[in-house]
Amino acid sequence: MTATNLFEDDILDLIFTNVAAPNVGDVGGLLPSATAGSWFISLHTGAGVTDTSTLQTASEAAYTNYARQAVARSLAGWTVASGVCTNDAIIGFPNSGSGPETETTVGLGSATSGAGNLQIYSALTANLVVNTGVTPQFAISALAISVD
Amino acid sequence: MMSNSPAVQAARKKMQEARLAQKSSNPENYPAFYASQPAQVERARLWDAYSNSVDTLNKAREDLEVALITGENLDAAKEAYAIASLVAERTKPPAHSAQLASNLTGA
Repeated sequence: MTATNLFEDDILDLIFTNVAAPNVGDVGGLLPSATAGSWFISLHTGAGVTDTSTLQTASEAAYTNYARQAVARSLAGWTVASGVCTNDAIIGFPNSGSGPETETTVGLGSATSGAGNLQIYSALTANLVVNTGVTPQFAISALAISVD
Repeated sequence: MMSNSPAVQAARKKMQEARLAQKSSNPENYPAFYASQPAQVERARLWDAYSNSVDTLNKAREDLEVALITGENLDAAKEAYAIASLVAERTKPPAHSAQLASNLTGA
Protein backbone atom coordinates (compact mmCIF):
# COMPACT_ATOMS: atom_id res chain seq x y z
CA MET A 1 0.00 0.00 0.00
CA THR A 2 1.13 3.51 -0.66
CA ALA A 3 -0.34 6.96 -0.31
CA THR A 4 -1.29 8.95 -3.38
CA ASN A 5 0.47 12.25 -4.02
CA LEU A 6 -2.72 14.04 -3.07
CA PHE A 7 -3.02 12.27 0.26
CA GLU A 8 0.69 12.71 0.99
CA ASP A 9 0.23 16.47 0.77
CA ASP A 10 -2.99 16.33 2.77
CA ILE A 11 -1.31 14.46 5.62
CA LEU A 12 1.67 16.82 5.58
CA ASP A 13 -0.72 19.81 5.59
CA LEU A 14 -2.47 18.43 8.64
CA ILE A 15 0.70 17.56 10.51
CA PHE A 16 2.71 20.69 9.72
CA THR A 17 0.21 23.46 8.97
CA ASN A 18 -2.81 22.24 10.93
CA VAL A 19 -5.03 22.24 7.84
CA ALA A 20 -7.73 19.55 7.61
CA ALA A 21 -7.15 16.50 5.42
CA PRO A 22 -10.46 16.47 3.53
CA ASN A 23 -12.51 13.60 2.19
CA VAL A 24 -11.70 11.09 4.90
CA GLY A 25 -14.91 9.83 6.44
CA ASP A 26 -16.72 12.92 5.21
CA VAL A 27 -15.90 15.95 3.10
CA GLY A 28 -14.47 17.75 6.11
CA GLY A 29 -12.12 14.85 6.70
CA LEU A 30 -9.49 14.70 9.44
CA LEU A 31 -9.84 17.93 11.37
CA PRO A 32 -7.10 20.26 12.62
CA SER A 33 -6.02 20.48 16.26
CA ALA A 34 -7.98 22.95 18.37
CA THR A 35 -4.65 24.57 19.18
CA ALA A 36 -2.10 24.44 16.39
CA GLY A 37 0.93 24.69 18.65
CA SER A 38 4.43 24.02 17.41
CA TRP A 39 6.88 21.34 16.51
CA PHE A 40 9.91 21.40 18.76
CA ILE A 41 13.08 20.57 16.87
CA SER A 42 15.79 18.67 18.73
CA LEU A 43 19.30 17.44 18.01
CA HIS A 44 20.60 14.05 19.07
CA THR A 45 23.92 12.28 19.30
CA GLY A 46 25.12 8.79 18.49
CA ALA A 47 22.67 6.12 17.39
CA GLY A 48 20.33 6.51 20.34
CA VAL A 49 17.23 7.48 18.34
CA THR A 50 15.42 4.65 16.60
CA ASP A 51 11.87 3.76 15.55
CA THR A 52 11.30 2.49 19.09
CA SER A 53 12.22 5.81 20.71
CA THR A 54 9.41 7.71 22.40
CA LEU A 55 11.10 10.52 24.34
CA GLN A 56 12.68 13.69 23.02
CA THR A 57 15.43 13.26 25.59
CA ALA A 58 16.75 10.13 23.83
CA SER A 59 20.46 10.79 23.33
CA GLU A 60 19.61 14.47 23.09
CA ALA A 61 22.26 17.09 22.56
CA ALA A 62 23.63 18.45 25.81
CA TYR A 63 26.16 21.10 24.83
CA THR A 64 26.14 24.23 26.97
CA ASN A 65 23.28 26.59 25.96
CA TYR A 66 21.52 23.91 23.81
CA ALA A 67 17.74 24.21 23.64
CA ARG A 68 15.04 22.84 21.34
CA GLN A 69 13.68 25.19 18.72
CA ALA A 70 9.98 25.78 18.05
CA VAL A 71 8.46 26.01 14.59
CA ALA A 72 4.77 26.84 14.53
CA ARG A 73 2.40 24.41 12.84
CA SER A 74 1.36 27.03 10.33
CA LEU A 75 1.56 28.21 6.77
CA ALA A 76 4.26 30.62 7.92
CA GLY A 77 6.34 27.84 9.40
CA TRP A 78 6.31 25.18 6.72
CA THR A 79 5.87 24.74 2.98
CA VAL A 80 4.19 21.59 1.70
CA ALA A 81 4.42 20.87 -2.02
CA SER A 82 4.80 17.75 -4.14
CA GLY A 83 4.92 15.43 -1.16
CA VAL A 84 7.69 17.24 0.68
CA CYS A 85 7.47 19.59 3.66
CA THR A 86 10.27 22.11 4.24
CA ASN A 87 10.98 24.80 6.83
CA ASP A 88 10.24 28.42 5.88
CA ALA A 89 12.71 30.10 8.21
CA ILE A 90 16.17 29.35 9.55
CA ILE A 91 16.03 26.99 12.50
CA GLY A 92 18.90 28.21 14.62
CA PHE A 93 20.12 26.52 17.78
CA PRO A 94 21.97 28.42 20.51
CA ASN A 95 25.66 29.11 20.22
CA SER A 96 27.59 26.33 21.89
CA GLY A 97 29.48 26.99 25.08
CA SER A 98 31.15 23.59 25.13
CA GLY A 99 32.28 20.77 22.90
CA PRO A 100 33.07 18.78 21.01
CA GLU A 101 29.73 17.00 20.64
CA THR A 102 28.72 15.21 17.43
CA GLU A 103 25.13 15.70 16.33
CA THR A 104 23.85 12.83 14.22
CA THR A 105 20.07 13.07 14.25
CA VAL A 106 17.27 15.62 14.15
CA GLY A 107 13.99 15.06 15.95
CA LEU A 108 10.55 16.66 15.97
CA GLY A 109 8.44 16.40 19.07
CA SER A 110 5.78 17.91 21.27
CA ALA A 111 7.57 19.66 24.12
CA THR A 112 9.86 22.64 24.43
CA SER A 113 11.84 20.83 27.14
CA GLY A 114 11.71 17.69 29.24
CA ALA A 115 10.68 14.20 28.15
CA GLY A 116 7.97 15.21 25.67
CA ASN A 117 7.03 12.92 22.79
CA LEU A 118 9.45 12.19 19.98
CA GLN A 119 7.36 11.72 16.84
CA ILE A 120 9.58 12.20 13.79
CA TYR A 121 13.31 11.80 13.36
CA SER A 122 15.96 11.54 10.69
CA ALA A 123 19.67 11.01 10.47
CA LEU A 124 21.40 14.21 9.49
CA THR A 125 22.68 14.30 5.93
CA ALA A 126 26.10 14.77 7.52
CA ASN A 127 27.07 14.70 11.17
CA LEU A 128 27.95 18.06 12.69
CA VAL A 129 30.69 18.36 15.31
CA VAL A 130 29.71 21.16 17.68
CA ASN A 131 32.59 22.89 19.40
CA THR A 132 32.60 26.00 21.55
CA GLY A 133 31.37 28.95 19.50
CA VAL A 134 29.51 26.88 16.90
CA THR A 135 25.87 27.77 16.14
CA PRO A 136 24.07 24.79 14.56
CA GLN A 137 21.30 25.69 12.17
CA PHE A 138 19.04 24.42 9.43
CA ALA A 139 18.88 26.93 6.58
CA ILE A 140 15.55 27.66 4.93
CA SER A 141 14.20 24.43 3.37
CA ALA A 142 17.21 22.47 4.65
CA LEU A 143 14.91 20.29 6.74
CA ALA A 144 12.72 18.18 4.48
CA ILE A 145 10.07 15.68 5.53
CA SER A 146 7.99 13.40 3.35
CA VAL A 147 5.19 10.89 3.59
CA ASP A 148 5.57 8.15 1.03
CA MET B 1 18.83 16.50 -3.91
CA MET B 2 15.98 18.97 -3.78
CA SER B 3 17.22 22.54 -4.17
CA ASN B 4 16.73 24.87 -1.23
CA SER B 5 17.19 28.05 -3.26
CA PRO B 6 14.89 30.97 -2.35
CA ALA B 7 13.31 30.86 -5.82
CA VAL B 8 12.42 27.18 -5.48
CA GLN B 9 11.07 27.69 -1.97
CA ALA B 10 9.00 30.68 -3.16
CA ALA B 11 7.54 28.63 -6.01
CA ARG B 12 6.68 25.81 -3.62
CA LYS B 13 5.04 28.29 -1.23
CA LYS B 14 3.00 29.83 -4.06
CA MET B 15 1.67 26.42 -5.07
CA GLN B 16 0.98 25.50 -1.45
CA GLU B 17 -1.11 28.64 -0.98
CA ALA B 18 -3.09 28.01 -4.17
CA ARG B 19 -3.68 24.41 -3.19
CA LEU B 20 -4.80 25.27 0.35
CA ALA B 21 -7.14 27.97 -0.96
CA GLN B 22 -8.80 25.40 -3.20
CA LYS B 23 -8.90 22.82 -0.44
CA SER B 24 -10.61 25.29 1.86
CA SER B 25 -13.10 26.73 -0.60
CA ASN B 26 -14.08 23.60 -2.50
CA PRO B 27 -12.86 20.36 -0.90
CA GLU B 28 -15.03 18.19 -3.15
CA ASN B 29 -13.40 19.57 -6.31
CA TYR B 30 -9.98 19.74 -4.69
CA PRO B 31 -8.74 16.33 -5.97
CA ALA B 32 -9.45 17.34 -9.58
CA PHE B 33 -7.76 20.69 -9.01
CA TYR B 34 -4.75 18.92 -7.48
CA ALA B 35 -4.40 16.55 -10.43
CA SER B 36 -4.36 19.48 -12.85
CA GLN B 37 -1.41 21.24 -11.20
CA PRO B 38 1.70 21.38 -13.42
CA ALA B 39 3.86 19.44 -10.96
CA GLN B 40 1.27 16.66 -10.76
CA VAL B 41 0.80 16.54 -14.52
CA GLU B 42 4.56 16.18 -14.92
CA ARG B 43 4.79 13.53 -12.21
CA ALA B 44 1.95 11.64 -13.89
CA ARG B 45 3.76 11.83 -17.21
CA LEU B 46 6.94 10.43 -15.68
CA TRP B 47 5.08 7.59 -14.01
CA ASP B 48 3.26 6.78 -17.26
CA ALA B 49 6.59 6.61 -19.06
CA TYR B 50 7.97 4.35 -16.36
CA SER B 51 4.88 2.14 -16.48
CA ASN B 52 5.28 1.74 -20.24
CA SER B 53 8.95 0.86 -19.76
CA VAL B 54 8.05 -1.81 -17.22
CA ASP B 55 5.44 -3.25 -19.58
CA THR B 56 8.06 -3.42 -22.32
CA LEU B 57 10.55 -5.01 -19.92
CA ASN B 58 8.04 -7.65 -18.88
CA LYS B 59 7.33 -8.49 -22.52
CA ALA B 60 11.07 -8.65 -23.28
CA ARG B 61 11.59 -10.96 -20.30
CA GLU B 62 8.85 -13.26 -21.55
CA ASP B 63 10.33 -13.29 -25.07
CA LEU B 64 13.76 -14.09 -23.63
CA GLU B 65 12.36 -16.99 -21.59
CA VAL B 66 10.78 -18.41 -24.75
CA ALA B 67 13.99 -17.90 -26.73
CA LEU B 68 16.02 -19.63 -24.03
CA ILE B 69 13.72 -22.62 -24.31
CA THR B 70 13.46 -22.79 -28.10
CA GLY B 71 16.78 -21.27 -29.10
CA GLU B 72 15.01 -19.16 -31.70
CA ASN B 73 15.91 -15.45 -31.96
CA LEU B 74 18.01 -15.79 -28.83
CA ASP B 75 20.49 -13.02 -29.61
CA ALA B 76 17.74 -10.58 -30.53
CA ALA B 77 15.79 -11.46 -27.40
CA LYS B 78 18.84 -10.96 -25.19
CA GLU B 79 19.54 -7.59 -26.76
CA ALA B 80 15.93 -6.48 -26.45
CA TYR B 81 15.89 -7.51 -22.79
CA ALA B 82 19.12 -5.65 -22.06
CA ILE B 83 17.81 -2.48 -23.69
CA ALA B 84 14.43 -2.73 -21.95
CA SER B 85 16.16 -3.20 -18.58
CA LEU B 86 18.24 -0.09 -19.12
CA VAL B 87 15.27 1.99 -20.23
CA ALA B 88 13.18 0.87 -17.25
CA GLU B 89 15.99 1.71 -14.87
CA ARG B 90 16.55 5.15 -16.36
CA THR B 91 12.91 6.16 -16.56
CA LYS B 92 12.10 5.33 -12.95
CA PRO B 93 11.01 8.57 -11.24
CA PRO B 94 12.96 9.50 -8.11
CA ALA B 95 11.54 8.45 -4.76
CA HIS B 96 10.99 11.17 -2.19
CA SER B 97 13.57 9.61 0.07
CA ALA B 98 16.21 10.24 -2.54
CA GLN B 99 15.38 13.93 -2.61
CA LEU B 100 15.27 14.63 1.09
CA ALA B 101 17.88 16.18 3.29
CA SER B 102 18.45 17.17 6.89
CA ASN B 103 21.30 19.59 6.38
CA LEU B 104 22.51 20.85 9.74
CA THR B 105 25.33 23.34 9.42
CA GLY B 106 27.44 25.18 11.93
CA ALA B 107 27.84 28.92 11.70
